[in-house]
Amino acid sequence: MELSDEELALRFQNGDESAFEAMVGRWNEPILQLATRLTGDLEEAKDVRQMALLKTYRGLARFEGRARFSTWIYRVVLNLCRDKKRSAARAHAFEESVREREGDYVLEETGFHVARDREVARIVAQAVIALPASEREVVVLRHYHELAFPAIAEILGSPVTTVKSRMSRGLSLLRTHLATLET
Amino acid sequence: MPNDDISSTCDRVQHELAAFLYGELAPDACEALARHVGGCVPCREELAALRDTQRLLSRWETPAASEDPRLLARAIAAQAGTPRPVGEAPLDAHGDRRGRLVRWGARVSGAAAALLFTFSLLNARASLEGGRLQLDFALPGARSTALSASMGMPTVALMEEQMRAIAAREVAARSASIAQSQEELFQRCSQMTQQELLRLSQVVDYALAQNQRTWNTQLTTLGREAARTDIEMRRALTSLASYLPDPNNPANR
Repeated sequence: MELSDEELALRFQNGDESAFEAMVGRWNEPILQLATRLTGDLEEAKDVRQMALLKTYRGLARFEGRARFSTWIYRVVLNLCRDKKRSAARAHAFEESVREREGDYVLEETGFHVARDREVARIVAQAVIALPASEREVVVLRHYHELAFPAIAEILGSPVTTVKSRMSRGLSLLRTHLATLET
Repeated sequence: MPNDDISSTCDRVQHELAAFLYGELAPDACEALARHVGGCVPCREELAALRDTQRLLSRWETPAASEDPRLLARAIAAQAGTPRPVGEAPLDAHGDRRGRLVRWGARVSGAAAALLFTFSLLNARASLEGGRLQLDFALPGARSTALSASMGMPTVALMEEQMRAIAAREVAARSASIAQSQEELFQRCSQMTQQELLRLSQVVDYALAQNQRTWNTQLTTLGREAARTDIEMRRALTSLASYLPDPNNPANR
């Protein structure tokens, strides 16, 4: 039977290093996907993943299980992505061009073989990345990570009604951005 | 006014469309929404448009993580420094002054650990390449890069360098293990072959000896048979000869 994150954390606290390897195996992909969709840049996402896993390694020794581990790790990744976005905003005034380049870069490795699919995916990626941060976080967590609104509310520390409103607003903005595309 | 009622209902329904699309609306609210949408064209169009948007979102796929999680975990552990820090303050992005001091300490210890780790990698590489255990600072550029990176910034590049080094060490260790296994297997096969050949030669020798004994017995029997047949033939010839006329008798001439 597969151990829960909390059970793995306990094992790690008792000196079982393989528990951390199991956690990396489980969380490597979700962390990278979340960071890629929130930053829009694969290299930055890898950087975020490294820092998040490092924090996990150091933080597991003190993990007391008051919150679920998944809530904790999602919070860590969100905070790291927010910091990345802030530093990026401070560093450059070329937001639009960088965003476009980021979108292209992310899609370079997605394996789309048909040009039109690539173009659609690029436009969708740009639309998601262009959302305001609060809406983008909710849309990404709900649509791509399939987290329920109460779970997202717990991660963000916001009421469920706020999360629903952000999702509604986010979808509405995306609808406007993507109106010209066919499904 | 009726129009205001309709408008407020539409507002409420459109606010709930996202929850409806993602299956997070209570069953009774779902029924109410479905009833309203069935009779309200603008809300029905809005729902269809949001459903299209939902489908479009799924068209954006991100690249899968390509790293081996086990190697990644080891690289993280190496970067964090072993043994694990005990009693270290949480490394959040908004810590207090004490937390920052502890973090600096952690960075120094982390850098030291990374340095030790890099040296350990160099040791491992050297021993694998030539069986030499001493550190050789005239090593190729890749190794000196790993050393300088570990002293500089803990970035993805350093991670990748460490992972490559760990992977190389793993591959070398496994290759050595496989070579050793092959050697042992060959020796075992060789021993088995020798033993098998010995056993076979003994079997052949035994079979040959058995055959020899059989042949000897049969030859002896055949010899006796032949001798007996010869005696009998001689007797028969002698007997036949008694019936023949005596050539020395003048009466028979």
